Amino acid sequence: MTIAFLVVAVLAALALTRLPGAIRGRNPLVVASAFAIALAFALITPEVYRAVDGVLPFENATDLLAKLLLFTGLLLAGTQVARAYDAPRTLRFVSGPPGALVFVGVFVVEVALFVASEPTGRAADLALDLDQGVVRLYSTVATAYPAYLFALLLPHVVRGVRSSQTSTRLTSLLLSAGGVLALVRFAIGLVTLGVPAAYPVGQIVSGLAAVLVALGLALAFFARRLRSRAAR
Amino acid sequence: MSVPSGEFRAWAASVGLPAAALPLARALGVSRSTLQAQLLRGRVPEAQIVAAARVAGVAPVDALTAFDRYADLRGPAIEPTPAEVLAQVELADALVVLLDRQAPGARAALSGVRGMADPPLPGSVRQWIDAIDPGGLRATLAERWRMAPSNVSAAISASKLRPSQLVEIARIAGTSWTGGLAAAGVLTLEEAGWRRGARSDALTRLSDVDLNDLVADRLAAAQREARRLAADTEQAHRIQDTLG
Repeated sequence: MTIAFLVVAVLAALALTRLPGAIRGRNPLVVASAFAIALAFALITPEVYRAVDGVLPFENATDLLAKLLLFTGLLLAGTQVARAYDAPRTLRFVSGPPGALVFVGVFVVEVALFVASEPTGRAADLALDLDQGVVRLYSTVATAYPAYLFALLLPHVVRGVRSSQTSTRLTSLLLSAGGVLALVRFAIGLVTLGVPAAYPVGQIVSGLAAVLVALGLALAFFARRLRSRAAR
Repeated sequence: MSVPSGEFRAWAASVGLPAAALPLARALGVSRSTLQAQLLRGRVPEAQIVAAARVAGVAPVDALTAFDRYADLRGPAIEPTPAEVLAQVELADALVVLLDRQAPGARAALSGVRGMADPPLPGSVRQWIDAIDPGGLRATLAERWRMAPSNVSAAISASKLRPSQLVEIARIAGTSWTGGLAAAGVLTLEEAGWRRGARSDALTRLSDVDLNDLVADRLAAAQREARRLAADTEQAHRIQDTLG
């Protein structure tokens, strides 16, 4: 699982570069999102997962925790992306009442599927028991939320690719690529329902999507730093 | 599109360029692999022919018409129309002439400060097409090229037309076939058969009404571009401040 660790390392490094600014009150939402997503990916690496799960009250509670962290991180990031691209109507569907409904709805379904499943051991995404239909559904529904968010955001983000400003172009390109992968991940999730063997591919796509989005956000960060340094 | 590599080799030999790929590439100042790829694919782009003609000391226009594809264009060049000439005038050049009419001598005084730039200029292909359009040109092109009209317009605005397409447009409009190549910077204005100082003379001959129109048109284009840039900058700052 070296890829998983690599993903965590990149996400954590990018989150940490923003920590000093966040302490001074700079964009706490994006920084919180970066840490939540980095932590979520850290929790599902096998070693961390087993260690944490031993401490938590019931078996595989870590996975629910990781999913809650991931969804929260995505909600925060999605909110800021919608604001950054000046898309108030999309913002409503991300973090307004309809967005909150989807967030809660997906998570409630996840908890219900978690309860309905019969895991035989401790593993992130209950991946030891992919032979159970319920577990495959549990895994796929979790990919629906990022897909939902990026389906909403993509039209706005893609338009930024044609900007005359390099920083907008690159950030938009990375976010678009990450967003497309989030949709691809959901498609692979649907395939996994019938073909469990597709699961590992899906996990790699998830990690790649997270890294691309994190890089896009980091680029906006460095562009802002460059700009404020040039202004001084 | 482009011309077949066999024809290109034969033409290169006829004007005294080396036949083998390596010395030919060296003579043209391109990498051997680029040229070899073009020859192997069997298609040599027009820009390469123009470059080769310049090296061989042949007029690029004669070089292009030596190929079957452009053979029907052989013959004396058609003079560019005044509208075509004015299409390659920038805002600042038109402003200098306008200023000179209000304050005689301004043009001479500014001649050392500003010289006319050669195409390709921003918008030069679009302005050329607007100058030669007999009406419904974009729709005709969309039909001929089986493209959506919006894609044709986008390709024109972004100067993304191939040399063969520029020649085709000139053929449809019935103007000098070199005009589009000049606007796109494939040929220099002189290679395209323009008189030296053609733009400057055309500006001088403009009536006050037409000169004002030209300035207004260029100013409107400059304003559109400035607005776009300002909006893009504002968006960039917004993205950086919200996500960074």
